[in-house]
Amino acid sequence: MPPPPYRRSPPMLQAPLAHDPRLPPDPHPASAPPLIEVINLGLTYPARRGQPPFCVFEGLSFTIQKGKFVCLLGHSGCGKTSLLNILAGLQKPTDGAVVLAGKEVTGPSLDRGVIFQHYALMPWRSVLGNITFAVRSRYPQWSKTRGREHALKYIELVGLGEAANKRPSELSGGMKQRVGIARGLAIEPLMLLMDEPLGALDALTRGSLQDELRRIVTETQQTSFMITHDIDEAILLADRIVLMSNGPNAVIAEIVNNPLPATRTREGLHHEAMYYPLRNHLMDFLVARSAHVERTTIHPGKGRVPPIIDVQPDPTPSP
Amino acid sequence: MEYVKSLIVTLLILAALLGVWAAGTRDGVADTSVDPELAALLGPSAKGESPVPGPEDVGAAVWGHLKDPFYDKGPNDKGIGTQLFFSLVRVLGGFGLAVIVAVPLGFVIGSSPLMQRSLEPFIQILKPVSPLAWMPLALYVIKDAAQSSIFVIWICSVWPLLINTAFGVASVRPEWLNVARCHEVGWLRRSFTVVLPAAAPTILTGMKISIGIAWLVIVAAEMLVGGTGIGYFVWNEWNNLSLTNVIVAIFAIGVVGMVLDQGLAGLTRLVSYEE
Repeated sequence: MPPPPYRRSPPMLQAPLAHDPRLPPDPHPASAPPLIEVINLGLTYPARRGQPPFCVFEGLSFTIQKGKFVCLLGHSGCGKTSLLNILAGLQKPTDGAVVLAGKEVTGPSLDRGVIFQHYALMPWRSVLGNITFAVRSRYPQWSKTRGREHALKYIELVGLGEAANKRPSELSGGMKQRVGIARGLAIEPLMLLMDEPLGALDALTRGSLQDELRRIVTETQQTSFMITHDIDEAILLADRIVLMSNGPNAVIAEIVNNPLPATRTREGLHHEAMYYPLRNHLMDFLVARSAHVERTTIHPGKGRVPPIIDVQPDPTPSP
Repeated sequence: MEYVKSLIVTLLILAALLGVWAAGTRDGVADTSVDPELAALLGPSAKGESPVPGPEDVGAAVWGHLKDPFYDKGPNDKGIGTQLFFSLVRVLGGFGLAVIVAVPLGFVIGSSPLMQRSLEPFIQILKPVSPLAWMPLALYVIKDAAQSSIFVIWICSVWPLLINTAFGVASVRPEWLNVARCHEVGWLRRSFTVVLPAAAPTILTGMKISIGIAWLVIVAAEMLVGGTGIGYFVWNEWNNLSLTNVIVAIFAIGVVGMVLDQGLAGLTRLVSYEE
């Protein structure tokens, strides 16, 4: 009998994350307190017009360490966007709490930079104007020149130096989202939240922006949480991938560690030894298992602590 | 090229209209059977002249008014420029007061569904009332003809402004408001840097509609209250049986109305944005 394609390591006996030897030592080892802690989060819409209450998700619990990139994968309708809105503080959960850097999230704040799927740029402002709006909100004490320089730094970072004075209507979708990313980063948030930021873009633009995001988050060590339904995007960008079951009553089924080296690139992704095992694991989940996740009982106060999975290499084919 | 073509067509239509006008008002043959002294009393038709002035009469009158538009020879004889100035002051006064009241109120209505629903019946009932119907009430309460006409202008300008401002504010895209929330932008800064620029094109369209209606209404209002203004000028010249001056006034009202409309259209272009 062949071994199963993956192994569930019991959370208690989990081995420390293998660290890539080509990189400097991780400044934020997994034992440090997490930057963001999601505790037993639930969202239920109350009963209306004779309809029973509708539970979007319940008992969500997970943590994100500082400097890590976490992707959330799941089908439409499992409440991914609601979860992100709750993390952003734009929506209130009906259960549980989100704790960011030791403080409970009660509303939107400049601690979190949000990148919207449809960019949400203000069309009456130039690229620079959109960024300085954010910078002025974050650093109201700064002079105009200082804010402008700061904004231009981030416009350069996303490669839009030439277009700083253009209006959003003069930009392509990909360039608009670069502005969105620059705006999210310019407030130097503790946490960057992205709701399918590349979902509205064509495949080519999407690819180049994935590279760009990968470069920026590795450069800036920005803690990020991103919703996507693109498996390859998650594999390229994420250190950990959170898998959500289908709604209603969605739960977090498992959290998968990304075994690929930090030096991974989009072009070289499919040459990585662990690429196919990981991809197959994620694909199997989305295609088959996401609909039949067993719902364990919710631990009061802790919610459902999902198992953390390390995908195992494929067995070498026997000669 | 397109512009030149349309200009040529415009000039052709103008020539045709002037031709029809000139032909329609050509003087006939004088009726010699009428005693000349009686004919002088009976007016132009008895002398065989057309009762409606032709383009050349009006042209001469326009030239006369343009040479000295601002003369003032007593209450019943003021230059057409002076009269237009009085009307413009009333319109801009009433319109300005309407902007001061309606834009902030529209902001409140647009940002609160509760206020929107509770004020809806009042707006729906008061909006279709002809502003002139307020005139007797205004005259009785204010007891001043000039201020009453400003009030009438105010009340007719308020509705389009109120409705457009409320609509513009209510249709600010929620994602822009979310951006403001995520950046912890306060109420005042959000109003001025997000909501106002987002709603500005709709608000200015409301202003354009308002000032157009105000300019329509001022003529009728001044006919009623008398004294000064282009409406009173028209009424006065009708009493003088000077149709030439009435026609001159029609052109003058049209030109000023167009300038007001184009001015606000220009302002609207300044604040409009492309998504």
